[in-house]
This record gives sequence, structure tokens and C-alpha cells, in this order.
Amino acid sequence: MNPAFKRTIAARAGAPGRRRPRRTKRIWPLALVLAAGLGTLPSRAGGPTEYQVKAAFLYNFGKFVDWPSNAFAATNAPLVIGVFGENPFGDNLQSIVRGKNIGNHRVAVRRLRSLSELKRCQILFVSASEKQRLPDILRAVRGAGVLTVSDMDHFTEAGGMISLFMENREIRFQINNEAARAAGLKISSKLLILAERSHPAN
Amino acid sequence: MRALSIRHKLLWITLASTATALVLVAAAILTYEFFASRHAVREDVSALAQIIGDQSTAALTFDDKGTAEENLQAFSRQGHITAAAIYKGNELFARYPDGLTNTAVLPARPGWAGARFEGNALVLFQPIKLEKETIGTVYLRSDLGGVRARLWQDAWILGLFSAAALAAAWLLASRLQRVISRPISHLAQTAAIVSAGQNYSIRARKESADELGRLIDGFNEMLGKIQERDAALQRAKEELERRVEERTRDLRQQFDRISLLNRITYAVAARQDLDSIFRIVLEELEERLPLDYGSAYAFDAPADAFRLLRRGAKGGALAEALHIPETVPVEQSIFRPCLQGAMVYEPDVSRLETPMAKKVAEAGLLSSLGAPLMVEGEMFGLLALLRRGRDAFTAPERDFIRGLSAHVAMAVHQAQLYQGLQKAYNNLRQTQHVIMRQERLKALGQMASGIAHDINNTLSPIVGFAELIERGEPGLSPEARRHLRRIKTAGEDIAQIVSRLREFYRPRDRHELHAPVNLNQIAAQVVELTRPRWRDIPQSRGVMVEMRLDLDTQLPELAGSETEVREALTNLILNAVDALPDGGEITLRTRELNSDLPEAKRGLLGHALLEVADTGVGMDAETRKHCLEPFFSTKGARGTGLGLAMVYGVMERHGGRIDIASEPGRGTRVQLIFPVRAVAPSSGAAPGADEKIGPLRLLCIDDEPLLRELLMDMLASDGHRVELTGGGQAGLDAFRAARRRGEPFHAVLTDLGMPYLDGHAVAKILKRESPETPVIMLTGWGDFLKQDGALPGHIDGILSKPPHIREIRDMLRRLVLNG
Repeated sequence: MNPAFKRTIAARAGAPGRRRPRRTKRIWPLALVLAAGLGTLPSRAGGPTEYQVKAAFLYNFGKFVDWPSNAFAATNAPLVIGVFGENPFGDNLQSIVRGKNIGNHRVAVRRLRSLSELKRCQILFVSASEKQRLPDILRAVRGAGVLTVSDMDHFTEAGGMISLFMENREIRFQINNEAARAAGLKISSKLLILAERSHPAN
Repeated sequence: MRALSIRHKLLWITLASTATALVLVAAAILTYEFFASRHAVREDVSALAQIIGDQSTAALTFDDKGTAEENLQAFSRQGHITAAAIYKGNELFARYPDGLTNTAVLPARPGWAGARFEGNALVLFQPIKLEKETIGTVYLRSDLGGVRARLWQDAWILGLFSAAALAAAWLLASRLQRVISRPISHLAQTAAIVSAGQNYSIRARKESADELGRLIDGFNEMLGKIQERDAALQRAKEELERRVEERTRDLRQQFDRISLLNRITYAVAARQDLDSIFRIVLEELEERLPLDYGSAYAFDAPADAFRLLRRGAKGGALAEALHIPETVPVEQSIFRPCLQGAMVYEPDVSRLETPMAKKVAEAGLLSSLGAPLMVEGEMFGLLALLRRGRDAFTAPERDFIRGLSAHVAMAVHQAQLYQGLQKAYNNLRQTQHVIMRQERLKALGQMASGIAHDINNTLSPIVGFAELIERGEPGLSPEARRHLRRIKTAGEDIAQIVSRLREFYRPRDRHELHAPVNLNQIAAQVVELTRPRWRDIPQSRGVMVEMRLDLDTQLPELAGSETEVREALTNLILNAVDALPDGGEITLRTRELNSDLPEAKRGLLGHALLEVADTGVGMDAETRKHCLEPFFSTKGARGTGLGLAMVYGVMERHGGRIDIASEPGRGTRVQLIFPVRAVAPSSGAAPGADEKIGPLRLLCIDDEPLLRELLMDMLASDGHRVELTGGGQAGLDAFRAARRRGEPFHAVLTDLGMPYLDGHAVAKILKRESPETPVIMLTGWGDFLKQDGALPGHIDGILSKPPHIREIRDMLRRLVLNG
């Protein structure tokens, strides 16, 4: 929309990336933001920040995952995105989901403080600050139908479901579908296809 | 196409119907296919778009263009998709084929959602939704190649099947059409045969019980009816022909009869005499009607019989052979009803009993027709027409004859009228001629009488004094006496000549015509008298005229005037001499003609002929016609034109006639034919004739001194005392003076023509004063007499000038002594 803004993003994200082979992912932060309904964000100097994009990813994952019916307290219970650990999003996540629905569920963001609260959300972002406690966290939500997402390294190997990482200055993700299935979640093949095409550099 | 046979038409109809149906069906199928395939394509494309869109939601959401383009690569297997794209918002996100930049095929921005056909392509924009949000748009473009291919394929299949279907239809129809076409062809052939041959006995063969079968039944039935009607028509035609022929024959006969009627009417109208009218009618009828016997009879009312007028040629021959009488009493005739105007038709005469009927029946003339001839309701005759055989006259012929008889009757009536008219006209013309002649003679007479008066007056003294000298001078030498006598004779001849002039206009005194006349004697006298003319004068010119006398010595005397007859004969001889300029022969002939005519009762004993014939130049017809008229002459200045006219007058007075036969170059023969009547024989001189009487006292009145003197001398020589006066008044004075003296005159002689008081006036006064005194009138002309020849009451006697002594003596003796 705003060419100046767009150029800023491109400059940061790296225009040469477009000419890479097909197998590589190209994620346009701005487009992502827009597709997530962030077009109404107040215009600021600079493109979307990393966490703004990641916040949008969080929200959008919700659209490609089917939760088992018992994951919600009621059919119209809100879909809760929980953030455990340090909040890297600031207010971004909050602003993205405001007024949004996925299915019949209103989307809500909640900060989670303790392990015991972890089951009370449907999407759990584990902040990289909690890397040490990861096994506990994963244990705490096992079988609870919670989609676990994190941008820490080796998250999926550790048993997490979706890990976010940077590739060619674009944010990509990897999915551990077995973990998701074990948790009773059904991740859309379309998302799986996208995830299969990205491989963490490490 | 119209001339094609039913068979072909049926075939064509079937094929055309089938082909039309096939085409329509094919069109329907193709149309359906077209729309259906387009719809299908649209559905397909729509589904593809859905799939691609759906597949691309994640790529869109997570901004993964590579995945999106990989998804689009799937269209490389869908040949008809020529272009595809995914838009994120208004931005082109992914495209197919890779690198395509043509915005006509690949729009830079998404269009309105939905599928639409753009030319030969289907274009579709379909939003990509995720969680009820539109996250992008799929664009697909199909070139519809599939649709076209499918349509072509369908068309091929349909075409092949249609061709097969048509072939099958043709096979079927060409076999099945016979069911209909064969009976119809058969019917048509039958109709053609019937029509060509006019043979209505042919029938069409029936093969089925359907409409065609009924049609053939109907056709056959119709043929049957036509056959019947044809036969009836033929019969009617024959009947008609027969009747036409009959009628034509009738008409021809009628025409013939009308022509005949026409011919007869024309022929008859052109003729005016009855005989030729009947001849024409009967000949035409016998020839052309025809007849075997035609005749016409008149009704003779007094004899109550039919009298034959005429027979036709055939009728005449037959009548002669059969001895049919010319007069048939009405009582015996079968045509008696004709008297009442009815036509009589006897078809068989043989059954009749009359002798006449038997005769004709024997001759085979059995049919007999009598047509009355009527004029104004009166039957005056009839046509009797006969034919051989019984009942041989047809009704039209009888009608014709009835009509014809009316025409004939009319023509006869006309002819009669015409003849009457002709007769009346001839009478009128003759009367006119007579009157004209009389008028002419009268005019001549009047002129002549004037001349005669003067000549006689002049002549009287010559003759009178010569007589006086002869009688009163006994001492004359014989020579002188002879001379005197010649003077006297010449004078008397002059008087005779003059008197002849009178004879043209008045009959001579009766007594003059009753003297006995001997024609032979007169002939001899005239021959002698005229000798110088017929012998001496011609001889002097070297011309010989021979006079032959052929006299009937037994010729009776006839009563008449010798002088006149002599004059007439003289004239004829002189004419004959004139007709012989180169000489020739004159024959004088007398004959008694003993006529058979029963006129003896009227005192006619016979006729005497006096003929003068010459061998001279003759007369042509024109001259012959006018030769008797006064003043007609061929002799130029020499002729007076009175000669033959005088002869004619003489013959008229003698009750005789002139017969003139003449031819140019062949001579002329004039015959005078006198009636011979009983006549008193000539008594010679009257008793005491020529004796002196007197002496008497006589008064003579005459304005001519010479004549007075002559009378004085004549009467004085007889011893009479004569007083002379020169005028009427002087005479009257002398007469009265003598009476007063007591010496009245015994008689008065007065001239007629005098100035002041003429003879008549004097005579009337004298008679008034002294009726017993005889008055004798002297006149040079005799026209004072009344037409009947009687003397006027105031005159007792008349003496013509020049007076002769003897006449005076006779007159005086008769009047004075006997009176």
C-alpha cells in the first residue's frame, strides 16, 4: 500500500531472495501482515518487525489446525493464544487478534505464568527464555490438545510442534506432525506442505 | 418436382422429412452440447479454481509464492487452461505459465468475481476464502479447446449417424412407398387407359381396404356410372342425330318448297296473262314438287261446271291418254267442296265411284288434291293436282299447296285487274287518238271552209255565166260551146276540189252517201282520168309504169258517194305513181268479199274490195304508222299531206276500212274495203227535173255584185222576176216594200256571209214577218249547219256556191210549188 513502507521491508528482507530457486520459501512480511488483517495498523516508520510477523503466524496457524472437540470448554469458547515466558510480541499479538474469530471461536491472547496454566490455551507460544524448562512445559501440555509453537532452536526435535526460524531473512517454520497428532491435533496438509519445504539451516 | 411420379415424391418426402428431422435433432444436440459443454467447462474451471484457491490458502496466508506457483503448475496438465494467476489483494501473487506478462491474457489486477466468456475464451475470477475472509483471488483462462473438440466430435458422430439414418430411410421408404404409390400409379394408368381409349369398361384393381382401396372403389364406381352415362349419351346422341337428320330433311323439303313458292311467285308476278301464269305454276309444280298430273280449272258458274284452263306438260299427256274431259260438271267432281273454299284431299281415289275417279285410279293416280283459287271470298277456279300412290301428299305439302294457291289466286286476280286496266287504257288511248284526229281535221276544216267560201264566191260567176251563155246563146258555134263547157267543167272541178276540203271535218249530206256506186266503173274512169300522170309524164322521162286492171265483174254496187270514191281512188293511184320513180307496175283490183259474219241482219250483204298495189319503194314502219294523218307527207313540197287522210275520211264515212300493207323496197298495197248494203237502184233524174217553173217573184240578197248579177241572169233566163239587193237591210226593205205593194216574193235567196246583217239574221227577220215565204241560203261553206245536218228552222233550203241552174230550179220547185 505504501510504497515507501514496502521498500523498507524489501530492503530489510532482501530483494535478491526472490530469484532463488523455487524450493526456497519467500515470505513477505508485509503481505503476511496485510493478509492477517493488519492493514489497519497505524502506519509507522519501517516495516513489520520480526515479532509482528511471528504474531501473525501464531494467529494464522490457528486457521490450519483442527482441535479435538474437547480442547474447548464450550463450542463458543475463545481460542486462546497463550504466551509463556518473556513476551517478545509486545502488544503486537494483542492487536492482531483483536476482534478476530477462527471458526466459532473468538481469538484471545493470554499471558501464562505457570505450567499449570498451560493447558488453558489452545496455541502456546513458548518464549525462547523458557528453553531450560522446555521438557517440563511439553510434559505439562501433553495430551491436552495444545498446539505448541516456539522460535527457539531445536524446538521440534525436543518434542515441540511448530518451530519458527529465519531463513534468508524470511520467517519459516517447521512442523512436528507426530507430536501434533499425539496431542490430538490435525494440522492441515497445506500447512504441512509449506513446512516441508523449509529446512532449518542448523 | 411437380412432374415427378408419386413414387418419387413419396421417396423425396420421406427423405426430406427424415433429413429435416435429423438436421433439427443434430442441431438440437449440438446446441445442447455447446451450451452443456460450456457450462461444463465453466463448472470445471470453477472447480479447478476452487481447488487451486483452496490449495493456495496456506501459501497465501504464509506468503509462500513458490508454493502457490507450484500449485499453478498443475495446469500444465490441463491443456485448455492457457493462463492462470493468483492475486493477493490487488497484487499478482503467482502466475502460470511462468513468466507470462501479457496483460490481455493475464490481467495485472483481479477483475470482478465470476466466470465469463471473452471471445473464444472463458475467463474466471474466483475469490479465495479462508475462515470467511477473502484472502486472494484465483484467475483462470480457458481457451475452450475442449468444447470445440467435443463439438466437432459430436458433429462428426451425428453426421455419420444421420447419413446412416438417411440411407436406412431411403431403403425403407423406397420399399414402403410402394404400398401407396403402386395403387395410385395403377389408378393413374387405368385412368390414362380409360381416357385414351374412351373405354369405360376397364376397372382398377383393388389391393387394400384403406383410403386407396376406397378411392379405387370410388373410381371404379365412377367409371361404371360414366359407362352408363356414356352409353346413355351415345344413345341420346344417336337419337339426336336421327332427329337432326329428320329435321334437316324436313327443313330441306320446306326450303325447297319455299324456293319453289318463291320461284312461282316471282315467275307469276312477272306475267300478266292468265294462261302463262297457269302454265308456269303447273309446270313448276309438276317439275319440282313434283306432281304426276297438274291442271287448273275455272269455275263456270252458269254451266255449274269446272272448265279446264290449262294443264301441265305431264298432265296434258296423261289427260290425252286418259281422255279426261275439259269440262267437268260440279256434280260429278270430287272437288266440289272447293266451291266453299275448302281444300279437298282424297288420299285414295280408287274407292270413289265417279267415272272421272275411276279413270285416274286406273292410271294409278290415287292421290288427288284440289286447291281452290279464291279472290275476295269468291272461288273462281281450282288447282287439281294428282300423284301416283295412295296418300302421296304429306301434310306440309298440302299446306304448301294451300299457301301457293292463295298466291296463284292473287296473281290471277292481279292479272285480271291488269288486263282490265290495259284494256281500259287502250280504249282511252284510241279514243284520245280519234279525238285528236277529229280536232286536227276540225281545225283543217275551219281553215278550208274559209278558203272554200272565197273560192266559191269567185268561182260562182265563172261557172254561172258560162252556163248562162251555154243555155242562153243558141247561136254559138260548136267550138265556142265546147270551150264554154270546158270552162264550166273546170270551174265545177275547182268547186269539187274546194268542197273536198270540207270533207275532212264533216260528213256529207246523207243522201250523198246513198247513191249507188259501181267500183268497176269508177276504176275505169279514174284510170282514164289519171292516164297523163301514170303514163304520159313518166314516159316523157323514159320510165314505164304499167297499169293492170283486175276487176271483178260480179261486184255488186254499193251505196256511197261516187265522187268521193273516185277522189279516193285517184289519190291512191297518184300515190302509187309517186312510189314508182323508176317505173313498175300498178295493179287495180276489185273483189267481192263474201264474209261469213252473220251481219246480214243489219243489212250488210258483204264487202267489196278495191285494191291498189304497186311495186314501188314501199314505206317503213314509222311512215306506215303516220301515213293516214293529215299533213303527213313524204313528198316534200309536192305533197299536201291530205291525200291518204282524205282517203281515210272517205272510208270512215262509207263505214269501210283501209288496210295498208307495205315494206320498204317491196311495194305498197292499199285495200279499201267497203261494206255492201242493200241500196235503191239509181232512179235517174227526179221527175220534172230541169224543167222551168214560174214565173216567180224572187228576191236575191248578196253583197257580191258579180254573184248578184249571175243570180239575176240565171233566174231571169228562166222568166222569173228578180229583185236584187246588195245587203241585208236593203233586202229586208225590198221585201217589206213588195209586201206592202201586194206583190210579195215567192221566195228569198240570201247570201250567208254579209256585212252588218248576215244571212241568218235576215232569214230570221223574214220568217218572223212572213213565215210562209221560203228562204234559200246561198253559201260557200256549209258549217252553218247544225251538227246533225238538219237545217235551222228559219232556212228552208241551202245552195252551195257556185249555184247551178238545175239546183236552183229543183230547190224552187220543191219549196215554192210543193210548199
